[in-house]
Amino acid sequence: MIKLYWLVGIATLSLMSYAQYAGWDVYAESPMAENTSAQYARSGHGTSFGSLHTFHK
Amino acid sequence: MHVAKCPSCGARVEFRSAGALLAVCGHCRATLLKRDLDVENLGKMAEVLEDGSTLQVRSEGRYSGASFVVLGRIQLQYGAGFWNEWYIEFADGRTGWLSEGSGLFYVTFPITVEEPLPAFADLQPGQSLRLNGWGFTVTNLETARCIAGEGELPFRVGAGYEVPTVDLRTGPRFATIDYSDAPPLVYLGETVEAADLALNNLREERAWSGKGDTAVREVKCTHCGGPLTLHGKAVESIACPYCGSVLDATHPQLAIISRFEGGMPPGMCLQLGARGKLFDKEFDVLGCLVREVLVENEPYRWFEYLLYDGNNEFRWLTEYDGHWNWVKPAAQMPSKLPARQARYQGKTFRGFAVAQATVSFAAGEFYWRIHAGESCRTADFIDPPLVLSEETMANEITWSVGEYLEPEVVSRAFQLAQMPARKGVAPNQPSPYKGVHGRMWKLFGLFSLAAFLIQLYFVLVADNKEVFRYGAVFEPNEAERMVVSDSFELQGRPTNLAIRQNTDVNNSWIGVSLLLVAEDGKLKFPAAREIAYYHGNDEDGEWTEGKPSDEVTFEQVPPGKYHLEALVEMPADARQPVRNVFTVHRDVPAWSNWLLAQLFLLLLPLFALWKRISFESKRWSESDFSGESA
Repeated sequence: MIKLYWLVGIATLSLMSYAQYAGWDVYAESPMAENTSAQYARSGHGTSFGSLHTFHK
Repeated sequence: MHVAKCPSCGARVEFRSAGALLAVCGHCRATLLKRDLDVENLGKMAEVLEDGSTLQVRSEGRYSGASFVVLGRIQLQYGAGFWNEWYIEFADGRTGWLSEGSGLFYVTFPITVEEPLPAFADLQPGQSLRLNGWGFTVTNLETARCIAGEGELPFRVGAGYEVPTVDLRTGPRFATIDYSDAPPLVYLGETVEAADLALNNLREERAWSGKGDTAVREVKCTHCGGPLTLHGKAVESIACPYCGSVLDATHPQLAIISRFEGGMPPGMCLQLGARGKLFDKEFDVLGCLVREVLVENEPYRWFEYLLYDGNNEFRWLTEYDGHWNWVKPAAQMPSKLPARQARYQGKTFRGFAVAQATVSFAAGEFYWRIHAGESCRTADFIDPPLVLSEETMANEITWSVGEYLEPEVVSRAFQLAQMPARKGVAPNQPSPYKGVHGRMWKLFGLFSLAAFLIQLYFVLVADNKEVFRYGAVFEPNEAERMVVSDSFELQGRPTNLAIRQNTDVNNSWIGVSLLLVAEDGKLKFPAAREIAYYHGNDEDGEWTEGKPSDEVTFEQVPPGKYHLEALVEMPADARQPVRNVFTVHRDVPAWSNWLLAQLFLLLLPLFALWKRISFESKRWSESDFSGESA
């Protein structure tokens, strides 16, 4: 179990370092999916929002 | 040295010790009392019985840095057998006594005590007694009878006189009170391991030895005629495995002294006479006791195997539900503490169980007179892998210490192909998670520190730079609640980005739907936020709720040209416009990865902790004091 913990520990620290470097953040918002973007693009609002009230609710 | 001529046979008799008053002639066993110029013949002394002791007159040893020589002995018989008191003289002229029992030696010296001594009849095992300020516990009461003597002795003694004796112990100290004289004679000393006495000039013939020894006698059971073996002269009783009869091994016709009902129950793993190597010593299995306790009318049975190394060392191997213990007499008297605890050799043991244990069957040879149905009160205290066992009989208290043995150790030692399967958790079974658990928490500390240092590095090197600022005013009428910012450029590697909003929301709220839009059309980052800020005064004073600002972070935002779009929702009754300043910060320190890493690193230590607690719960579920376990 100790050996396993060494592996888990080293892997966790490595992953954490990479996540920090790459700018990953679980509390952060992610980019919108492609199809959703497309819908927004087709909304014809002149902006990307479309029906933002619905989004917000 | 005083030399005399034996008046009976004319042989030369030496009084090597100035303190010796009596000597037994080595040729004719005449008991000679030393006078000023000659000796008085008091008559013949009975022959000493052959026993398993390797000591003899002229044996030598060392105690507390001083060498001694054995001058003589008296042999005393009691209900369960007999023992020797060896009279020893040190190089500096001091004299004392050396006795043996249960694999331990006791060295004592005569003392005078200040305290008045209670009458022999008023004493009982477990009673406390003070001797020259030391608090002792009465451990044994016997009325023994002197049956023989040899060599030189410091007092006039003859076979047949009764010796009521009391043994007392405290820690390593040992005391004996001899009530055969008035006032009683008190001897004070301590228990000593055989190895610490550096004994030499011992008897060459070993009373006990194993296979291949010509001293092993084949005998037949007096009751059923079953074949039995008799390994040594010190065997006091033999229990027939076929019919349960217990024979007096010292009787010429092996008289039956007791009888067990029934037979040997299944589960006896070690055969009588088997030899095994444990702790670098070879031991023979001499006997096997089956002991049981009744708990709610349910018998719980275990096996105790008596082992002997052929050199004054008896040990026990006990087996219950596949769990093994290596047991020897406690070298020191443990002390009992409050809250059902005991202390022994610097360790504190926790009370585990008390029971009335009975010997339900026995087979083989024993160094005491075993009786069917022998019963005693047992109390077990544990400090895994050790168990301290106190056994209280009518006239005696004994303590033994057992160490948990892995079954593989026993099977390897005795080359056993089959072993009983281990069931449950034994009282003193070491937890496989105890050490692991501790080491894992240490490792957690190490990893946690490393994670913090890594995090600190990223915090220090993060740009956290404001790359864009945009102010907007949102009017209550719906048409003017949406804004699109100017464009701004993000540079560098893909990394996170934080949008902070500072508003003048006052006792109101706004809902902001944000969109970070990449102008190449490939990516959009949406976020819905609510900013609410209320404040006021009530009977408790000033209060606030919420705040007029907000921050949202987008992860992995690639470089490029972007703009912000924001749509604001307001309460239906909003009358005032809301001013909102958006600031965009690139490469901000993020703590979520560090926090996640901490949580992930905690998983295995918590699992090990759970396993440990679950193991201990199983252990203590079998205890009489399970409700008191921590």
